[in-house]
Amino acid sequence: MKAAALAMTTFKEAIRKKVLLVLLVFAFIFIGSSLLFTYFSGGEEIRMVKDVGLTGLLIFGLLISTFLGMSLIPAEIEKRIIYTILSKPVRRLEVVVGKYLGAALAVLVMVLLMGLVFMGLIFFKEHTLSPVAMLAIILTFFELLVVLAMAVTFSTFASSTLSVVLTIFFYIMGSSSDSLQYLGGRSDSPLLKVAVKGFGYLIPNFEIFNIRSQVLHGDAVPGLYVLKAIIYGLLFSAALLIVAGMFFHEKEV
Amino acid sequence: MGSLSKTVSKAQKLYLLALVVVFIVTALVKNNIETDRTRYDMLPENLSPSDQILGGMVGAFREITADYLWVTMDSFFHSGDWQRLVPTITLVARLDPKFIQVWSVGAWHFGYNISVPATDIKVKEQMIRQGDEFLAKGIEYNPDIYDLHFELGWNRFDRQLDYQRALPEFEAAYAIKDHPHYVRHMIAHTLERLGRIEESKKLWKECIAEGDCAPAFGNYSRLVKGEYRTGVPQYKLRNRGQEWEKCLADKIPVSEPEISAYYNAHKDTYMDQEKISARHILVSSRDAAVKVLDRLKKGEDFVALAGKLSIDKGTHETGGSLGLFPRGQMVPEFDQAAFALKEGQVSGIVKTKFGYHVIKLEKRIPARLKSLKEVRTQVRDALVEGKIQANVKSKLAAGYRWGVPEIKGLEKK
Amino acid sequence: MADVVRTEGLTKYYLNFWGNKAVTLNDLSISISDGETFGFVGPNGAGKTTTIKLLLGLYRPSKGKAWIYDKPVGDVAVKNLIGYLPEGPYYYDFLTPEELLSFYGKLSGLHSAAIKRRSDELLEIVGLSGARKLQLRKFSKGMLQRVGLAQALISDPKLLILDEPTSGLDPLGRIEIRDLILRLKKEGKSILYCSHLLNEVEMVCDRVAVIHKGNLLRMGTMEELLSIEGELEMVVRGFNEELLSRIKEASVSISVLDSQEALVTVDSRVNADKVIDIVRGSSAVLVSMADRRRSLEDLFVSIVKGGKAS
Ligand SMILES: Nc1ncnc2c1ncn2[C@@H]1O[C@H](COP(=O)(O)OP(=O)(O)O)[C@@H](O)[C@H]1O
Ligand SMILES: [Mg+2]
Repeated sequence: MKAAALAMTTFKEAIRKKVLLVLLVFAFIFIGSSLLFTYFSGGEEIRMVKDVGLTGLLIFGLLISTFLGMSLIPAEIEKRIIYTILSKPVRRLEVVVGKYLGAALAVLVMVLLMGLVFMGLIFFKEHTLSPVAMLAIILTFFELLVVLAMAVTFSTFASSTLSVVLTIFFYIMGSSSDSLQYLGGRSDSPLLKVAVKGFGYLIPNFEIFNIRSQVLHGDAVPGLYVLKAIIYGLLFSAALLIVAGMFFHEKEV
Repeated sequence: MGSLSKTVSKAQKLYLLALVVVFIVTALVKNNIETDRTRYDMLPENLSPSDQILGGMVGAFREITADYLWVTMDSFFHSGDWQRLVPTITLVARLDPKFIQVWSVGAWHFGYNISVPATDIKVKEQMIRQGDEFLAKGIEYNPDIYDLHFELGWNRFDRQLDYQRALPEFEAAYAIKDHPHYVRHMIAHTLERLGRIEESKKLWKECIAEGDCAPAFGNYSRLVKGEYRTGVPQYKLRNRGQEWEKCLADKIPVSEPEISAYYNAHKDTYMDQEKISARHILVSSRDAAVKVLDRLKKGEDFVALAGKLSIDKGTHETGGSLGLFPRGQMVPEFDQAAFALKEGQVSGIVKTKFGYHVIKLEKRIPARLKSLKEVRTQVRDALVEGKIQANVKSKLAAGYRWGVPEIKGLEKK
Repeated sequence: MADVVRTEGLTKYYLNFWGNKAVTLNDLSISISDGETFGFVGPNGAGKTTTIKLLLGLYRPSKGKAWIYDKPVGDVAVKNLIGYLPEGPYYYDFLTPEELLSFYGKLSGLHSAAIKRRSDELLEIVGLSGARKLQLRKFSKGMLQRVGLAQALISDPKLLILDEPTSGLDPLGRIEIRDLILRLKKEGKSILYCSHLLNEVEMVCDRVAVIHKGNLLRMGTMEELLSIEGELEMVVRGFNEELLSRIKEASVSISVLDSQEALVTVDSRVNADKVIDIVRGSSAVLVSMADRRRSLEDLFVSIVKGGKAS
């Protein structure tokens, strides 16, 4: 209930931010820009539309999540709103979770809007809706939830610049997780093997949410897999929020 | 009255406990997902280590990077920048090995677009080999795609003239569901080239029975009539010989006496024809044409009159000027009348399918022989071309094959 | 222990890079009893806000303890009894006062019906009924401060903690806020009132603590702090020159208030008796006599200049 109130207020404030609107407009332009590549043969053109669209959705989703997440709690401290909030009978974890949920809702709305434009584009080109593309968008949203949780967590102990840098760094690490695991698996040193394996559990593997290759090549993705990936995203976000709560609990505001 | 520091550590313990529990569950889910990814072939596990690193470096943006390079590759192709085209193709293929077009289009670039215009035989042959290897690699990643087998078969059939190695690829393409009907045609063609006529015929019959092609289909009827084409067709070998020998054009000696002898022998080809420059006024009736002549006789200006009266939309703005033209460019009646005039003279009424013309000859440039100096390179090129043809002919007669493999077990006809 | 707020040796210091302590609050022991309006005064940087943040659990003490309603500070349940107005607060720009109060009401665990009732009432009290649908970004500082008060009062708390409630306001705004606080005081709320504006504190507080550079310098009721021991002030009406010259010997100072009245200050009861005798023997009248009080400002300056020893 208290978390819900925090979430709704955060959401309302977030979607009224002009920056978000500007990002959304740029996202639309980016996604639509694939229409300009008309000199390709039919099959390649739709590949272009899908690839540019899904990647655009991801990039702008990442920007939105990182910037929302990084400022979520620091902005409250900056504006001294956090004092009045914490002077009410609210647990600090509730504040973290509530604000996170509000931002997540804002990210959902952004993803939905971008997704709508994207699916419209596909429909305009192919006259069918690609279900795998829809799954890809859903998975991207859950990927963004993890990124958002990451940004929130970093912002509870690091400056805003450092939070952004850390979020980007870990996103890249998490996206290269497959390669890292592969190379670790080939290593001769058992110590390194174990270290790399452990690293793989500590850092979210964002490639789990990436089914863009399947969309582009028309491969099917099992529904159960998508469900598991969603659960993974939610669990990882929860773990990150616990860490955020732990830091925020100790924080002097 | 609990002390503050005590509550803090208690809360921290709770947080840590929750964290550990969530983490263990997350790890279990992750393990399960990773097994799924292997099972559903979502991991690019058959990539080489360097490709793994490459993929890891661009992370989530692998596909878009591949597509971006694909677009730039297109521009390299249009600008003929082969030095950059080749590595870009390989890079795209490494980034997204399931992108079928990159293998087939890439192989096409190697085998044809780069190799055909190459003037160095080594480069030519290397590019052909690279096209073959590139497709074979594409097939490794995408064994279930008929396109790539077919492309490889075609590359060997058409570019390498290696029917023995083309056949298994066409057959592999045929074994994959959803292949188009021309795959079977290509198998039939290949069998014919390999001298396996009965099998080829049988296949064509099957095609006809299954409606893949009409009974009158050229290839089949030719086979039935006994016009087999076993081995490499002569024209193919000749074309290949010409392409290869052309690379050696620089090394073919051409002497001065040869050049002047050729020039003297082919003077007619080096003539500049007679040309005239004329104006005309086109009207739709004889009466109108008569009136035009009348007005000209009274001393009215031809140019002004053409502007006023000519119905030839193309020239009435320019005073009826037709510019310079040689014989044979205009309709015959007009041609005859115009070339018969003297400079400055005006014709009578000339009827053509367009209407009634009054023509004035402005200028006449008589026919002229171009000097050897002007046409030297043309002469030289013609000589070299002739020598290449001669070389190809004599080498063909001697059984030279320009790297085309012999078909084993093919009885000589 | 019936204290609303109690601290024992509450201390906050920061360690800088070299390990040196920067003490912002040193060994503070105070208690505020029920219904009391307690003034906490000191110049900027004295440690007032630090104390409040310690009381709310926003900071952790370096040493010492604090209780609110006998619960250690930071206890979530007790927070419903506290209303807090921070120094120069901002709120969500795009919310209306109604939405903001509903938000804080929910955080306080109130039901929406109760919130509705309470926020109508509060907006009436703070005089923002007319602006209930206006977004907060269009509010003046004074209006924001009143929204802040309403927010602090949403759960009808027993203790109000007000940090510089009138700073940054124009004179009219100050009077409005002050009147509101006096009204709340009348309703029986306990108030911790922090300010560096002394006349405000003087007007509303029962008891005052003066802190400077983190140290508590003086604490006591207004009477105790402001009256000057032994000195008395008398107002004499209907004086003449001759009378004044006779009084002069016994008094510390005489100031003529107008053509009728003069203010006479004496330093002891004995001298006061002398003055009374002189006045009785004349045609003049003694209008009033009282302990001499000084302004809080005077006290403050003398304390701060003299340091703890004063
Ligand atoms: N993190 C910190 N490190 C060092 N000093 C601090 C820190 N935070 C606050 N201070 C110091 O604490 C002092 C007390 O500040 P504050 O309690 O806000 O004063 P007041 O509210 O009485 O004006 C200030 O001098 C300030 O510089
Ligand atoms: Mg302060």
